[in-house]
Amino acid sequence: MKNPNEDKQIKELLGKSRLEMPFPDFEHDVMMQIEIEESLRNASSSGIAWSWVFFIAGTVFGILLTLMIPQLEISILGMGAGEMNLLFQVGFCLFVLLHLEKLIGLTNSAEFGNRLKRAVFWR
Amino acid sequence: MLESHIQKVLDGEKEAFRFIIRQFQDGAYMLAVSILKEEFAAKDTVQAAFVKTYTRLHTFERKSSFRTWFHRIVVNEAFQLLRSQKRRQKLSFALKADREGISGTVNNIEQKTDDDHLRFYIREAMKELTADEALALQLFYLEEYSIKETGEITGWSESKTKVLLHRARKKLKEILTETYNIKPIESFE
Repeated sequence: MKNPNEDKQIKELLGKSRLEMPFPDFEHDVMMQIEIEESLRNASSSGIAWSWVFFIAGTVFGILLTLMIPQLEISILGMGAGEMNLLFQVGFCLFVLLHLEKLIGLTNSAEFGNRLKRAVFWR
Repeated sequence: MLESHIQKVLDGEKEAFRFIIRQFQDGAYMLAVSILKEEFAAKDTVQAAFVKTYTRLHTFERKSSFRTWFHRIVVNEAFQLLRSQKRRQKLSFALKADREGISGTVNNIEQKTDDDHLRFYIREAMKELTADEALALQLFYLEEYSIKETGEITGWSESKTKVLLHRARKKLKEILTETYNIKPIESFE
């Protein structure tokens, strides 16, 4: 059975062993670490943003190429323009889908996605 | 006051986070020490916990108090470090040897100890408890969380929390009495 007197004794006893943070620079160290984390996050956010820019530019360029290839009157390894265009389109689609999946995954990652949501919806 | 500082941090005022550090660093340090038994490891853990708190502050949903939410982060960080270090077994062997060495001389002390000595012996006794036992005592008696709140922070069931508290109380009294010759009732005279 619980003894309230015993509880009081233990609480008072443990109270005598209270500790304070013994490192005077602790607050400074934490703020420095936060600065480092923030600059790393900003760098990665910037990298992801540029990745989207180049991805979209590359996709547009790829689409233009698929429109231009049939107009070329050349043959490579016995393949005509039509066959080359088909091969290019298959490769291009696979390339775009794989990279799109990776980019979406990066963008939706917890840190970046929430910051983006805050920037768009809260301000 | 705390709420306004949290909102300032969320609005982008990084320096407002200093208030939160000053407010919670001592309690967090004590929790970390109770688990890790070492001041430098505790300092690193609490530092990591504060950084994590800052980066995840936007996820704080206010379902519990900020103190509970923050202490949960500290406890998780400390146990993560403890698991990765795998020091528990070595530490318990070392402390067992120390305790056997000390008991012969300290048991001869008959007179009442002053506050500094008492503080030292209590801290040494706390180091001999397991991480779970020491943490249970800290959360329940010093941070004054209920059994349920303690379970929310640690992930323990209510029955486990009660068992740990009972075991920890008993063990602490045994250590203080048998090793340091301190009877709890005397310390309050």
